[in-house]
Amino acid sequence: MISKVQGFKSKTPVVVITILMAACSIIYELVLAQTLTALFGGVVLRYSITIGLYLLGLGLGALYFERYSHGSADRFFRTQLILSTLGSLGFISLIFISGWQYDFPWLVWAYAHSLIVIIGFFSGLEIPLMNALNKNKLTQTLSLDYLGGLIGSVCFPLILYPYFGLITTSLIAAFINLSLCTYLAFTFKKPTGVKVLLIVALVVFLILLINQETLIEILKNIYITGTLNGY
Amino acid sequence: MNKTLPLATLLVITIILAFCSIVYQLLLAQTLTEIFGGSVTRYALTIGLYLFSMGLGVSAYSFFKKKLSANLILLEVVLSLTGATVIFGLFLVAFMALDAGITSLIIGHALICVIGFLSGMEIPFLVDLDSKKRFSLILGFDFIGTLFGALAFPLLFYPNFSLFSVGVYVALLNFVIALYLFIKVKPERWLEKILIFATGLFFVGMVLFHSSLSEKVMEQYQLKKHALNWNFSGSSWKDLIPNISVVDSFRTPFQRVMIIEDKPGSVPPGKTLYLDKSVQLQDWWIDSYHETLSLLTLLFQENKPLNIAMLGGGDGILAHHLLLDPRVGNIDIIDIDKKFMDYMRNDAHYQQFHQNSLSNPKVNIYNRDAYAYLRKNSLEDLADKTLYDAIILDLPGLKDGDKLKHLYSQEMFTFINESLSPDGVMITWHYWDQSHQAVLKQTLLAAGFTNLYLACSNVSEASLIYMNDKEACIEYFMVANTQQQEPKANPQNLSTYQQVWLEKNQTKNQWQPLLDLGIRAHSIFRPNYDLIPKKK
Repeated sequence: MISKVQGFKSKTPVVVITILMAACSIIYELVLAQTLTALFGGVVLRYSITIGLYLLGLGLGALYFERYSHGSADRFFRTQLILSTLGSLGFISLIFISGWQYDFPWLVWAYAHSLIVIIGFFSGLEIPLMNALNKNKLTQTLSLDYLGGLIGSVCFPLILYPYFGLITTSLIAAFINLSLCTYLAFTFKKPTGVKVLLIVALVVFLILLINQETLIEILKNIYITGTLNGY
Repeated sequence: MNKTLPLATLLVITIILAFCSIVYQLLLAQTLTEIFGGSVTRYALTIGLYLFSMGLGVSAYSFFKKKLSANLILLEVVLSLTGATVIFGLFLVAFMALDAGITSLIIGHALICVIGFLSGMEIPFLVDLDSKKRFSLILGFDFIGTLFGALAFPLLFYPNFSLFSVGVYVALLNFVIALYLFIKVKPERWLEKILIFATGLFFVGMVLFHSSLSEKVMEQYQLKKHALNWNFSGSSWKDLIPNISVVDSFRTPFQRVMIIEDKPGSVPPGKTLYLDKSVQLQDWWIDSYHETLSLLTLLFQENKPLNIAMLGGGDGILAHHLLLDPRVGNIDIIDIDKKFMDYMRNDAHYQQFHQNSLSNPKVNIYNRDAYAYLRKNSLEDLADKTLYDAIILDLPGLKDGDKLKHLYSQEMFTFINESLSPDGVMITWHYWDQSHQAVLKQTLLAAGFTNLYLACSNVSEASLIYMNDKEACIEYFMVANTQQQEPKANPQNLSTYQQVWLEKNQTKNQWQPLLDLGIRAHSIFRPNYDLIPKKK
């Protein structure tokens, strides 16, 4: 089965994609950990639980792959798409819910923690999928993945969070995931409709990133007032 | 070690080892946070470095397997020794490099890599110990152990035990595994036998003496830090050490509380209370700080029963000064740390400053997170909302970087503004640091405040003695509201200090409009780290 998987022809996309996808995953998790800290307080508790649930999700994803899945470019493509959606819309909806449902903090709590596990799960799934596309050179895939994780966890506290904040950071990571999708769509010759949709989505993300100030103001307002008043 | 172990035993060992490994990691992240501050950076970097070095460990296993005649016992012994000593090592390095800085930071992160690397090598070892090499099953149990550890550390270990004890006992657990393997496998070589015996002795010593040893280490570390911080005389910190002593040091679920006493003759004498890295109270300015803060609260109030909220202020000293004015009808103290409040209530030294104000019937205590409390209040319908005539932020300093910065965010100030009566005021102390002040002002503006009244305490005898300048400001304060106002009714029962302060400052200080400084407000979603005061 695995030998039939259509893989990458050169090494450059493998290196770039593996590093970027690993960095994005850990950035989503750190965004969620910091959001939970901001919403509920208690840095030690939030970060510890996020790490634990992230590793659990990673493990579940890897186990799921071993039992029920197999390597394919299609599956890898879908995983990137799901991660991009969860990282951006999942996170933005978390702020919406925390604004509207302030009387039910447990709902926000449960939603945020499910996001941590689900993003962990798909991040765990993307590693063996990437490995299959990399002709099962496991050590190489894993090393690149760890390197990407390290890069993500250095960039988040030193650059992304202090200069861009949580909302823009999640958008940047989702934009990177989406760009990877688009690249895969062209490499693995997806139907034209899919390519067009992806490019449209990329443009939408770009517009959001350019107008990040407005987006941040809207989300802040929802969070502070619990309504959409003024927008 | 070519034997295999029964699956059930192997899975239990897997869970325990994964548990130990994640606890080490969180322990390191927290220790680095307590030494250097900046929890976001510490935790994020720890996660990244740990996963990275674990990966290296897994990859390196295949190299070590043959050359070192693979020995899990050896690995566990090394890991348990590292785990038991790592926190001591970090504090010792931090102690030696207090005035150097970066060295201990590098060593701390290198230690994360060492422990991550060793933990990474465990997994393939365990797989090799299974007769059927069931990799995914063992990996699955590894993740369960990790989750247990990630829950146990913040919920059980961190609130109840010192970081040193957690390190020692988790390492002991690691050693028990090594011991079990030793008994089970009965290795031939003398190396293992001697190692196990020596490490066993080491742990007996550690369990018996680690708490007194850790107290010694912490005490020396804190004394040196204090001596470096409060050195008005210009002499070396070593000369100051004989004159200072740690009176009390403990951790509550929320912060480290430490009281240091400078003996008479040293400058300045008296007690200093630290909350985490920030100075909260010092005897030589305790009165001028609280009397100025209470005067500023009462100065702009009308002649009516006043409803006041204090965020923090669990020491009860500010409440005592406010209660001297009969207009004060109710004080809500919202302070998260019950253990700290109970300590202050019963401490003989601080009783002279708070006069048991926390037991006054006008005082209501809410041991809650101030952020959550005010957010809920501000989102209530007007009929259910509590409106305050003054909200005072009497919070610990921002030296830790990340821990308290949400309490100075645009979101928090908006909740405060929404919880004030129309002519109510918000009062806070602040650092002198210019960019800190600028971000604070911009954030208040973003939260809907329009006017500012700046003040400082400066007529204390202490400012003359220790700062050699009677006009020197000791503490800085900001009062903010949404409509400019004059002092309305004279506060009553003023102390001599307060009367002098009023005479000197009432005409000098004036309300000024809050201006857009063109910088970014500090938000929980997008921080502005200029809020954190720079080191001197």
